[in-house]
Amino acid sequence: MSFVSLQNLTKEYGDVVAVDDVSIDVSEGEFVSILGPSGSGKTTMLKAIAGFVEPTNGVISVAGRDVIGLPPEDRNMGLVFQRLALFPHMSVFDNVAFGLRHRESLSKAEIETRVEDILKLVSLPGYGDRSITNLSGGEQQRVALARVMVLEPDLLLYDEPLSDLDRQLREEMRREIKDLHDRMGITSIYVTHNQREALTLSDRVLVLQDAQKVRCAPPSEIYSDPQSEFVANFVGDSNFISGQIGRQNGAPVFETDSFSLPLDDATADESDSSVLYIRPEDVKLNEPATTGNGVSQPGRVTGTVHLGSVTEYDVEVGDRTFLATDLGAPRYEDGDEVTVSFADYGLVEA
Amino acid sequence: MLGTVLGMATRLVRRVRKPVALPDRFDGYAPIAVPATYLLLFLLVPIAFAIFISFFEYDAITLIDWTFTTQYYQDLLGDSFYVSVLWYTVRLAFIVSACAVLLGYPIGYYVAKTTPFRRQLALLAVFLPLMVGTVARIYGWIVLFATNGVINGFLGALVGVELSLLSNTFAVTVGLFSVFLPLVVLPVYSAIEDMPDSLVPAARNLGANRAEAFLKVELPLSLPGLISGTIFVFVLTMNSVVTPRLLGGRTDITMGVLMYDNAVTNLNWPFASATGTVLTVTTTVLVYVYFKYVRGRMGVET
Repeated sequence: MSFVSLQNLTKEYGDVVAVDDVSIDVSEGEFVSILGPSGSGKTTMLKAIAGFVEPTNGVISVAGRDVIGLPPEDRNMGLVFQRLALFPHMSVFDNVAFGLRHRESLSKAEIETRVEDILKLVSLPGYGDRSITNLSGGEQQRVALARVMVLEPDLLLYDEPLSDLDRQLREEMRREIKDLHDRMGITSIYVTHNQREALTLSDRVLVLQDAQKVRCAPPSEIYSDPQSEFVANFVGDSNFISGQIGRQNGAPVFETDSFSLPLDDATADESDSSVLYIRPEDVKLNEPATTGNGVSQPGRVTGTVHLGSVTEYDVEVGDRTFLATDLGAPRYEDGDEVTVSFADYGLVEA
Repeated sequence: MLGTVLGMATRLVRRVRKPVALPDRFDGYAPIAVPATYLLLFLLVPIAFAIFISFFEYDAITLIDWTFTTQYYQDLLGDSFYVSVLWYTVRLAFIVSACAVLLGYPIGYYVAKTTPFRRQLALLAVFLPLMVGTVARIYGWIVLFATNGVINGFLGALVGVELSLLSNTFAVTVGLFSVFLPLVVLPVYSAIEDMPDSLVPAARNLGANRAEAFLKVELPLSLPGLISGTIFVFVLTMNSVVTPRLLGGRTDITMGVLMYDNAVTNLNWPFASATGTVLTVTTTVLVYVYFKYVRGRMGVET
């Protein structure tokens, strides 16, 4: 029996289906991300779990308890809001103690101890008397985490909590969230449109597209075997080539009008139209081919973007343009002739 | 509008003053020179003059006989009739403020939470009374409240009862409250509107039910708006003249009415000035006490 279970969750607003028959089981202590572009229904799912949206259909159970119909205050879940939603008229202490004062019959001394302990855990010791409005963005973020974690909820829900932060702080808080999860072990569901957060934080990622579940797998699997064009494109960049699957000497190959690539996937059925994805980092320039029969094509660099740790190239091969990335500073200039080979690739559903 | 005018005037003053070249240490004061002069000439000087003449005797021919006296203050604060006028004024201000809060807060809350279309309609309804002239509005109430007026006409036809609605404190309260209501609705609306939508869900997620979330989060955060609204209503009611005079009965005399009658009908300027001074001091003290009280009790930062 899984700890958190969503079965056939559906939410309709009139004719609009915001969440379409999504099911997922989360085991205790697991960290699951719901990843999707805006409008894919991920926030609606979160609101349904937290009790702010009544699902049209489906079952939500947490810790063996059916929570549908329970008001939000009786669900014992912690929700970290996108804009934090700290209470500006209260001190840090009162913000963190807010839930404790409601949820259980704790003595004043117990509340004080628990608030102090959690403030230490989020590296804000002695911040209790400070006013919320005088805290930095990162400190407010920590208070928001402390406020829900102090309750030791059955389930922690995150609604894109890092999307308003600048890049550096976002990285820092991402590590902090990961670290707190490792230490407290509270089952967590994290909603985001940021694939980086989803991939680095989670044990499993649920990818939503147009209100439907398209994939649910561990991050490494999502990246290495996206299975669909949508996932391949949403989780990292990809080059997509359409072609057909044929056989050469009994082995499956992917064929286009200009070249063919051997396929590892022995199960691939012959078909007239299929799509191949190639990650930009697998598009190699002037390198001996590493897979299969060493297909390499002549190409020409048409664009160079230096992104710091990596360089992005646009490479023209025949009438196709590939996106390639390479570690370090640019090694080629626009107009350079190169040979292009593919270190890895795979098939996706169109 | 006023700011633009003052800004232009300040720049003008600066330009004119340039060739004269005052010492640098006056530079910081230049921008406030114009508003300061304005306040001095049109507020402080008249008030000081009014307070000044309140200490001299009235003379039927010269209006002010320059003999020092504190007689008016002794009357106003000692004579039971005048004390009752002051007490009535304060009580009326409390009642009108309380009514404005009881009705204005829910309206402001509703206006902030409803759909944009309904918000427009509700705001229009709330503000309409402010767009009608005072006297026209009061005569509207008279038409409704009079013994042979609209309300009594209906009541008489339906249940055969006739109520005395006009010329009493009830009529004065309704007349004042109806026009001051927007002064509470607007700041409450804007305070609630300013609140992030996620605060109530956050409170509920932490275990507060809907009522607790309102009492602990929404109410304290909208209090500054409510307080400023009630102060407007209180001060304006304390100083009201026309409404109590036209809708009130023989006993509904406010300090404002007393002041008006003395200044305009009796031409007793010193007594009118003394009345105004007592009224202003009382209003200021009460507002200050109220402010201190809510600030201390609610922990509101204003």
